Amino acid sequence: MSIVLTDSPDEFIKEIEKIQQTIPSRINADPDNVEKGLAKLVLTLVELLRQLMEKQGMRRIDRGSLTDEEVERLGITLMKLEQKMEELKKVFGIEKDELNLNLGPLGDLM
Amino acid sequence: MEIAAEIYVYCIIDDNTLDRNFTLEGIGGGEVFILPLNYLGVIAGDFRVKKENDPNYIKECAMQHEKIIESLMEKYTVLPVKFHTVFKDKISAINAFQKHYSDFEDNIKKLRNKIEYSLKVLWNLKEIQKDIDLNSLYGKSIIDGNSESKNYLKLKFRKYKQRESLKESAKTRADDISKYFDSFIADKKLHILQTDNLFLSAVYLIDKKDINSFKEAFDNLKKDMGGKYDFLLTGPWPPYNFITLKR
Repeated sequence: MSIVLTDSPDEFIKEIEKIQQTIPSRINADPDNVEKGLAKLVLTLVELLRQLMEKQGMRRIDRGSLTDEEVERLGITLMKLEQKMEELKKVFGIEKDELNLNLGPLGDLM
Repeated sequence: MEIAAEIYVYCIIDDNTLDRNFTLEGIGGGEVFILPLNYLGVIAGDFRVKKENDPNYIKECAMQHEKIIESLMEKYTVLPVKFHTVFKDKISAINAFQKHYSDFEDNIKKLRNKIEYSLKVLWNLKEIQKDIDLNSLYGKSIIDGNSESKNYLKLKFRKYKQRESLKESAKTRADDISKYFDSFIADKKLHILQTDNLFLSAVYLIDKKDINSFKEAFDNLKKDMGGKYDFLLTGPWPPYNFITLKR
């Protein structure tokens, strides 16, 4: 039979719960809040793209491959994108932690 | 009114007959039987849904599902089937599984006599962050200027560098931990930094004959690194993380 061995069960329960909280098992397509369910899906994808852009930007800064002007423009773009996402999340009543998807064997989207 | 029985499937095993010594009680107390599928077998049982929305009943069913798979795992190579996989009758179940027979056969070959163990490791994040030399990370001013957008980027860049060095540190430590098992495991999957504290979630595929070596290696690991990290070891499990279906 399977065994579970640890000296710190409470700490592990806390961390595993954190992982589970970021995994909505399904998009909620309840007729009463279908709008929110779809918004969550769309905003998750937008947030993924925003994070990818941000990461790519950071890598380019790290490599020193951006001019001073490009850095300025990147900063403005990322700042505005983040502000816009915050606005949209508020409109649909969605928390930051809700923006994730479980892709089965591939793990989480973000 | 009597509810007609459906067929609940638990797992696939590497034999088309079931040892008579196995007396398994299925979900809801029904009989568990084998449906032969060429050289393999589909372990199934009669199923009558009673309290579909009762969380306690679902939990009880999930435990029973797992118990059956774990019992069979001791004698057979097992490919577990997802909880609550139900067919209207035996023929539908056989037809559905027959379509993927070669896939099952390939997996059984790859996983014969193997099981998996899961290892999760927590570190002390505050201590780790202290060890990361922040000055060497941000010492060189990469972003010049103090405009609003550049100050925003400086903050983002600082977080990015911190995350990258945490990842690097987690990777090195995960490799150090895996070295304890590398000489006898058949395969492994490592997930780094699932949360800031949980720096390693690993699953190891092990031949049943190597279970004692694995346990011994874990004891050594705990002895050597128990002061630095917290460990959670679970298993043996059916090889959930190493089954690959072509679809």
